[in-house]
This record gives sequence, C-alpha cells and structure tokens, in this order.
Amino acid sequence: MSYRKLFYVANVLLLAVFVWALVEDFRAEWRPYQAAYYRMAAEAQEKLAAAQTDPKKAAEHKAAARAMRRSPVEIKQIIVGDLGRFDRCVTCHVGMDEYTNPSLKNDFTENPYKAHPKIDESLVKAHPFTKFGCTSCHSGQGLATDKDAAHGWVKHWEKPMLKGVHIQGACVKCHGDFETLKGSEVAARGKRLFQEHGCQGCHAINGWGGAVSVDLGDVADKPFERIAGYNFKRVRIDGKELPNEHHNSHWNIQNWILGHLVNDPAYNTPNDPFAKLNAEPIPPSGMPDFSAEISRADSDAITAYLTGMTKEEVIPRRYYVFAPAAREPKFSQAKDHGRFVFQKYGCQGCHGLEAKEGRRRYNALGPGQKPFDETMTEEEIGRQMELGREPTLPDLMGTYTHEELVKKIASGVPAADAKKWNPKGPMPMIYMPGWKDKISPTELNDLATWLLSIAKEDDSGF
Amino acid sequence: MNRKLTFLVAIALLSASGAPGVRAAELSEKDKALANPYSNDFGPEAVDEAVLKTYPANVQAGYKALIKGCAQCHSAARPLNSRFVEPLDDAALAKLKKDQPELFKDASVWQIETKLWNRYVKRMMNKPGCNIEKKDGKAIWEFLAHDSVARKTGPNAAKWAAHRKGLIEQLKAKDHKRYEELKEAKDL
Amino acid sequence: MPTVDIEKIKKEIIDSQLWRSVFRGGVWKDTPRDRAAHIIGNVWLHLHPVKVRPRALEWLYTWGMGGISFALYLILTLSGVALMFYYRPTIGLAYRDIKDLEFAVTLGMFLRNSHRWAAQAMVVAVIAHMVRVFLTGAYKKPREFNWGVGVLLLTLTLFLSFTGYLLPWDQLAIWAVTVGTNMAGATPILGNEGPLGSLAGMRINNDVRFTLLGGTMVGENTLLRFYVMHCVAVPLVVGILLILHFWRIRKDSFSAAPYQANEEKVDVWPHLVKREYVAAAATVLVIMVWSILQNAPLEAIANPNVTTNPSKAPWYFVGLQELLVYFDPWIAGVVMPGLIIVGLIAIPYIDTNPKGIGYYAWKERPFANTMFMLGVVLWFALIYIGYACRGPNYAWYWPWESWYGLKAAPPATWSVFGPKGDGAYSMLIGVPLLAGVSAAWMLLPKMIQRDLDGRKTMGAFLGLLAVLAAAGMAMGKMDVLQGAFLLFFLGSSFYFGFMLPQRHIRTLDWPRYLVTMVLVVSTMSVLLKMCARLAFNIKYVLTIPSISMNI
Repeated sequence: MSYRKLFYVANVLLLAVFVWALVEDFRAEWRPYQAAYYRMAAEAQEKLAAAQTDPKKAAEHKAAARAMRRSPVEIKQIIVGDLGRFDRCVTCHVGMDEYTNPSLKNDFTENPYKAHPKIDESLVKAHPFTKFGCTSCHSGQGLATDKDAAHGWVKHWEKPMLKGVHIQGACVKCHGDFETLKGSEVAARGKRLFQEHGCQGCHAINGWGGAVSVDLGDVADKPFERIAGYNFKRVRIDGKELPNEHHNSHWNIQNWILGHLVNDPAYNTPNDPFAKLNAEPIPPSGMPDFSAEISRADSDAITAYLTGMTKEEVIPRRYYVFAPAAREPKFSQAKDHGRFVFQKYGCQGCHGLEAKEGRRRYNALGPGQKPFDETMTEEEIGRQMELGREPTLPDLMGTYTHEELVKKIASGVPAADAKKWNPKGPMPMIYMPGWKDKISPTELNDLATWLLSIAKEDDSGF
Repeated sequence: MNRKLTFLVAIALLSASGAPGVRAAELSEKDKALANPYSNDFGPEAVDEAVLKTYPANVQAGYKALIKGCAQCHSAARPLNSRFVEPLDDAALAKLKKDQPELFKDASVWQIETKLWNRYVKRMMNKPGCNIEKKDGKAIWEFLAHDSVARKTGPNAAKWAAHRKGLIEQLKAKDHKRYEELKEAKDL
Repeated sequence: MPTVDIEKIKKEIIDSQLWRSVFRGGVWKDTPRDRAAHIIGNVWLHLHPVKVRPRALEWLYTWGMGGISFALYLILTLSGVALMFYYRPTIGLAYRDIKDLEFAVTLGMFLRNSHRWAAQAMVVAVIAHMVRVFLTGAYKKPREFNWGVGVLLLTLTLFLSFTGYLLPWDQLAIWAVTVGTNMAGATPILGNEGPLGSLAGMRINNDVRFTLLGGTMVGENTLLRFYVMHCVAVPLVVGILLILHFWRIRKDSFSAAPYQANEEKVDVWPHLVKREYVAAAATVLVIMVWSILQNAPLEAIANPNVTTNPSKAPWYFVGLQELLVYFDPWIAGVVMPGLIIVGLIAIPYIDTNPKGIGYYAWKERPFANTMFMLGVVLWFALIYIGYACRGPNYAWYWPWESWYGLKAAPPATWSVFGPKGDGAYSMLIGVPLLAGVSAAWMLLPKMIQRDLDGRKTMGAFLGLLAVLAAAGMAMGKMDVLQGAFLLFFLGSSFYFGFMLPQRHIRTLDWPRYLVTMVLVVSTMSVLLKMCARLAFNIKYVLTIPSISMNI
C-alpha cells in the first residue's frame, strides 16, 4: 500500500476507533436498566391515565408519564458526607431514588426496578436514604456502576453486598441496643449463641473474653490477604466448595466465618502436624468442631452477629445508638450464679456445654486414646492426636478444695505444661488462661461452688 | 589459570559440605519434664534405701507402685520432692501446728493439709492416659502421706527445708522465666 | 446557474490577509522549493533537515522506535494532563478518584487505560530503541554524548513509571514503592541501612530514603511528592533532555548510516514525515484498541498494615527485585543499577572498534554485540523469573503451579567466608582469597597475549568442571542438578568473562580495558551468585556483619 493510502486509512481508523471507544463507553451496563425503568414507569402512568375517569387526574398522570419519558439517562448517586459514602446504586435501582420516585413505592417486582422493601416500616423510616445511603447497611461497592462491581462481587473489593440474614450485622455496627431492637433479632440470637456455646472463652470480643485465640472484635475487617487461598479452598458450605473467588464473592469473610462453624476448622486449616513442610510440626486449627452442636441456621445467626464486628469506619456520634449494658440476672443460690459465670466467660468453649466433656485439644491426652506407640501408621497417629481433650471437669472437681479451685482458675495453666500424647508431635494449641484479671472474686467463688457441685461421686475406694 | 582452578575446586568442595543434622536423642521422662520444670523435678528420683527400710510394708509397696505408675507422665522426682505434707487427720494437723509452727510459715517448702495427697493422687488418676488401678492408687497415697510426714517434718524438717530451698534455687538459676511464672502463680 | 470556480475561490482564500497571517505559505505547488519551505517554515518540523539519505528511512534499519517512544511520550502527556482534572493526590481521595474515573466519568476508563498501557509500551519502546542504536553502532564517535543523554532519558522513563505507579494508591502501589524505596535506604553511606551509613550519621529520618518518601514510611507526603515529580518535575527534565537529544541527532547529520558514493538524498517532505505520521498513527491506534479491550488493574485500597504476599515491584523493576534474592539491597538495589547506568554511558568511551557505525555488523563487532545482548537477555530473564516464578514468601513456583499450593520451608542458607559463627570458613582466608581471585580475573585476559584455541580451552575447562562435579557426586556431597548448575553457570562465566575478553579486548589500553573488565566481571558475578544461591543455598560469599558488608 502506498503511504498516501496508509495515511488515509490510518486517519479513518483513528476516527473509527475513537468512535468505538465512545460507543463502548456509552454501552455502560447501567444505561439499559435506567432507560427501561423510565419506560416502564411511563407505561404505568399511561395505564393509570387511561383508567382514570376524572379528566384532571388523568391529565396529571399523562404529565407524569411525559416527564418519565423525557428524563435524562444519567449517573445518580446518594452522597452521605458524614459517612463518607457515595452510593451510585440508584443509577440502576431507580425505584429507590427519591428524586425520580418521590413516593419510593412502585408496582414492579423485579430487581433493579422494584422499590425498596418495607418502605412504610419503621426500619426504613428510621434510616432515610439521604442520611444513610445504601452501602452503610448493605455493604458493596457504592462507587461502581457495573452490576458485579457494584455488588462487590469482584476481586479486590473486600466488603461485598451482604446476603440474607447477614445484613443484620450492619445493625450491630451502630446499634449498641441491637439485642433488644426490632429488626436485628437474628444478630441478637447470634450473640446469645456466641456466648452460650462458649466462643468467648477463646475469642474475646474487644477484650471481653479469653485471650487463647484471636479477638473477634474486628473480624469483619479481616483482610483476605491473611486468609490463605489453600484454606479457603477447603471450606465447604452446604457440602459444596466455594466457587472461584474471581467472580462470585463466595470468598468473603461471611463464608469464612460460616466455614468455621459448619465445617471442622481443623479440616479447613490442617497446617502441618507431621512437619512435612516445616522444621517444626504445626498443629491444625485449635478450634473444636462445632458443626454438630450448632445448626446451620444458628451458624448464620452467629455470622450475622460477627459481621457487625468491624472497626474500619468511624461511626459519627449522631449515628451511633448508645445503650446501657444489659443487666445480669440475679441469683439466689451461689451455685446457680456460678453456672451463669461459667457460661458468661465462655468456659463452655473448651470444657463443653454444662462442663460435661472437654472439647478437642490436638495432641493432648484424651479418653479413649491408645498409648503412644512409634510403630503406628501416620494415619493412626493423626486419629489418636485428634482424640486429645480438655480435662473433663466432673471427673476432677472432687479432687479440689474450694481454695485450690479458685486459685487454679485465677492463675490458669501455662501452655507449655501440656502433656503431649505424641512426644514428637505439635504442642497442643489450647491452654487454660488465667482469669484473675477478668473474673471478679465473687464470681470466682460462686463459679468454684458450682463446679464442686457437679463433681462425680468418688469411687476410688480410699 | 591455576589460581582460578584452585578457587573453583575450593568452591566445589565447600559447596558440598553442609551442616550435619542433629539427631534427636531419645529423651527420658525426666528430661522431658525438665523442659517445663517444677522445682521438684531437679531433685532425686528415688528415696534412700535406708529410709525406705524404716517404712511399714504397705508403704514400701506403695513406693514400688509409685515408681512404676507415676513415672509414666513425669519422673518420680516430681512427687518425691514435692512440698506437700499430709498429716493423718485434723488432730495430727493441730498437733503439728502446736509443735512446729515454723513449718506453716513457708508455703513453698511445706504445704500442709489433710487429704492433700489423697486428692492429688485421685486427680492424677482421673487424667486421661493414666492407667494406675484403684488398689495401686490407694497404696501410692498411703506411701506419699506417710513419707511426707516422715521426711519433711519432725527432726528432718531443717534438712528438708534446705533441700527444698536448694531445688528452688536451681530452678531460679536454670529457668528464670519459669521461676517467675510459678512464683506469680504461687506454685513454686 | 453560474459555475463555481473552485480554484478561484481557493486562491482568494489563500491570498487573503487572514490566511496569510496564519499560514504564510501561499498556494501549494509540489516543487522542491515548496517541499523545503514546509520544513523550514514550520516550527514543529524545522528540527528535521530538508533532505535525508534514503538509507536512513528504512524500517528494518531504524525500527522507528525512537519516534514511537516520542509519540508515546506525547500520548502520555496528553492523557496525563486529562487525568489531572480528575485526580487528587491525597490518601483519602486518590483511590476514590480512580474508581470515579472507572465508573462515572465519560471515557474515564479509556483515559486511564491509555495512560497505563502507553506507559508500559514506552518502557519497552525505549529499551528497543536503545538496543537498535547499540546494534547499529550509532553511539560511537561523535555521538557518545547523545547516547549518554539517551541513557539518562531511559532512567527517567523508568522513574516516571515508578512515580506514576504510586498514584492510584492501591495495594500494588504502596508495596511496590515500599520495595523500591527500601532499596534506596540501602544506599552505601547515604542510606541508613547501607554499608557505612550509620557511620555517616544517617538515620531513618534523615537519609536519602527519607528524602524520597518525605517521611519514614510510604504515606501522605510520599503521594504528594511522587505526584509532583511525576506530573511536573521529571517531565520538565525529560523535556529539556529531549530537546538536547533531538538537537544532537540533527547536528550529527540525522542518521549514522554511512555515506555511499553518489548517494541521492530525498526530500524529508514527504518521505520522512509520512513515515513518522504513519508510525505515530499506528502507535495511537494500538494504544487505543488496547485501552478499549483491556482494563488497567486496580487492587484493594492501600493498607499499610497488610502486606501483600508476595509484594512485587512493577515488571520493569522486578528483575532488580529478583537480584535481591542473590545480593544484599545495597548491591542489588544501588550498586548494580548504578553500574548498569554508568556502564551504559561508558560504552561509547570504551568501545574503540571503528567498525559497525550505521549498519548491523554481527561479525565485525563480536565482543560488543555479544556482551550487550547478554546483558539485555539477562535483564529480561531476571524479569521473567521475578514475575512468573516467584510466588508467596518468594518461594519458587513454576509458572503453571497454583499459588494456593503449599511449599516446604526453604532449606537453611549458609555463608562461605565470615567471622566465626557467621561463615563456614574464616574471613582471614576469605578476604585475601576473594581479592586475589578478583584481581587475577581482571588482569589475566590481558596478560595472555596470544590467541588461545577457543574449543580446546573451553573444552578443558568444562571437562575439569565435569570431573569436579562427578567427584562431588561420588562423595555424596553434590547431586546431579547441582552439578548441572555448576557446569552451566561456571561455564558461561568462563566463556563470557574470560574467553571473550581475552580474545577481543586484550589489545585495549589499560584504562579502557579495566573499565570494561569491571563491567564484565560484575555481570558475571550475577551469574555466579545465581548458581551459588539456587544450587548450593549460599547466602553470602563473604560476610562482615559488623559493617553491614555482605557480598
């Protein structure tokens, strides 16, 4: 081709490609949804106009229809300065935009056209969109205008839209009174379950609880960088592997928390107990298996509660609802109070519900274990190590005096004192922390009273 | 050229030498216990034959059971050098208080309570992995109770105090962190 | 209907005062005079000569890479200025502004993409331009200084890319810049973690890294500083140097292609200008199409508390980051890049071979071409390894291996010479041994004044290595893979580091010879250290921890 021809071809191509760029930009994902909404809203108004007998009202409907048809297709956003949120959700979800749809109600049933549910209820009335935006409750990427990106179902957006009951975690963020609030019942139940099953014994919440494992006061902010893909891949929700993290946001913190409750955490995080890849053996996750004890629905409730455990935002004072701490029930009997204390500080997380049986303590001694024998197969050794348990309290309480027991709970047992079943295996991860800085002396006394009361009969014969 | 060759030979040979691996030796229970020691663990793992001969037969049988049974999880040194003293009953305890009040002054040398060893033996027996039978347990208890009064009180008190203090000093010297830990927990 | 005389109308317009005041040219006639006037009378074009040798126009000779680099620079400037309307360089707003560009601004994503892809393309283009100029010997006398200016322009291009990388304020930005600036902290004497730095009074809050960052960590000040450098300071310097660069090209008869007898020059207008236009248009087209089809990446917002694993510099620096596996930061991050820059600038002064100016001379410039291309290949090999073969914890992952797979902890490394406890053998042997070997290596090629039989010498050396490797294997101290590494890397070092210099540059005068050998030996040290680390787990050949001197 001669250079002259090349010159013309190049110029034509330049123009064409630029037009192509403009067209691609014009074909943004949000435009058809907004255009469709205007059309549908206009048609609805026209129907109303046709059915209307009063000519004045009919004219009003017709005018409304005309206004809809003439509405510009543009980016819409809700700017909430106090919360630093710029939510463009209403670009597609036009039914929820107060400027286009002042009544915030319509007859559409599909997303993104339908109006926000519960618009007449106190829940939405108490949270006007101009003051809260959308993402402060729903999470997601408010800045985006593509569907998957806006819902946060893309890589590198770590706060995707909350699904199902998990949204109640957003209530927990601002409502100090969420436990008695209408609308956050699932999260309230989640907190109750968290305490009832003894989670707090290892997982303090903002310092309140045991320090054996991580404080969950900011677990909803956990960066994905700190969760190995290897472990995420082992999580099974409803029996299924989580789909690849690039597209669907199944690799999110909610499913990570859920995976700890509906799976055996030692399966999700097996680490290296036989020192195959590391110089020292590393035990699997120390968290016991709660999947049989906590139902799937209850696991969701706990996840909803923990979704509210976030510190990333500074909640302005005007938004935060302070509430006095719930008063503890009063007990007439010391041992009933003691039983309450046992639950309050999460002792059931290691010592089991009602202290009946200790929970898993990998490579510690446990009932039903065979004596350690070097000639066992690796599989057998692994099985035996999994039989390690915390002490079964009723068996031991009879051997303590009241003072000894109080002293023991107050000072705890150092982690290094654990006796390993497999001497070459990993150190048991769970230990008894010292509680003297956390449990008050009265509580300690009553706790000891209760524990002594559940001791088994002494059948030793001496 | 030769210099370069020498250098290369040196490099080749040096590269092939690696640090020899340390073969873990089989550790005895005492050694394992010394990884997280109590001061008891630094003491002897046996009672003098001469002293044992002075004990009644059932108590001597209990000693044998102890050596066999208690050493499963920790060396015999731990119970044998313990600060625990179990008088026969409340009357014996009251008499001890009257006769040797100094024994009640230092809790890290003497911890004197009735039923003390009784409880501890039962506590150990209830731990998983312990296969001491009930009759052996009784015998061990009888030994420990008798031995504690014999070796640690009365005319042997001073000798015992010196021994105990020596053990605590050993712990302090060899594992200061552990010493501080136990001191804080009042478990020296 | 009256007939419309187009020509008359055209003449009236062109002769009018309005037209003449702007364009001055009069009616265009395709004559040599008018073609010359087009070049001389136009401020943008008059850097060109009026006539040019046809040899200088061949695509296969010039590759057009210099012009394409400049076209990309213009694209970058225009798209950069457009981006400046939307971007605020503070840590609270930067990331959000990038998101706004992506989702809310018309053609915002296209604009951002053009800037990013043009930047990547420019790095490749300037390197390609440098390779071409080298292979056609167009740096030799009288063009040495312009080559030096070009090397500076290359460095500034990389620096522009580096400063621009921080601006989106995402995880990639903050950690890539952390890696890069921590290398600055390892500068000898001027860096607080470099050799002799603490002796010079350098602390974390007053050394050269602090100057770069405006603080002790990558933060608010760094973002503003990098923004100003990226948008104003460095482009100004680049502009000045470009003016100098183009001026020198013009003054040095525009092309290095040698004169041929009775060569007929052709007019620049249209022959050169049409090629430049087509190349520029093609460049813009490629960038535009690329920008429509592929989006520039953006990771999560920068979080100084969460380090990505692995944290990698952008691809053009990841080769240096790979060098960090083999050398301490002061060598990998400061000395090596410094040697590369200084070495490149020095090339015209140490290359006395009069052959090969203005044409591709493979046979006539064996040493120059081989050593330069070795350097280029090594640079890109290190980039490839750093990019594709290093995964979490910087462990070795083959390109097809998933980064979710677990890897064993790396074997313990050891040092050869050092004080007791640090090195396997004493420093007292090590220091003189290494000094001696280095000196011998530097001097030996020039001292052997006769031609050696290449095959025989190489064969003898490889044979000796094979014997050593076999002996090592027999004694159980080496395995086959280690032996193979030994043969390959030591053999290559011997060939490039001894055989080639001995054959080709032993006739150079001492100053030039020594400078060349320093560069050659430094390049070989990379090969040797790679072998030492990858095959034998050697961390340092010589370590003197008390003065932070580790080689």
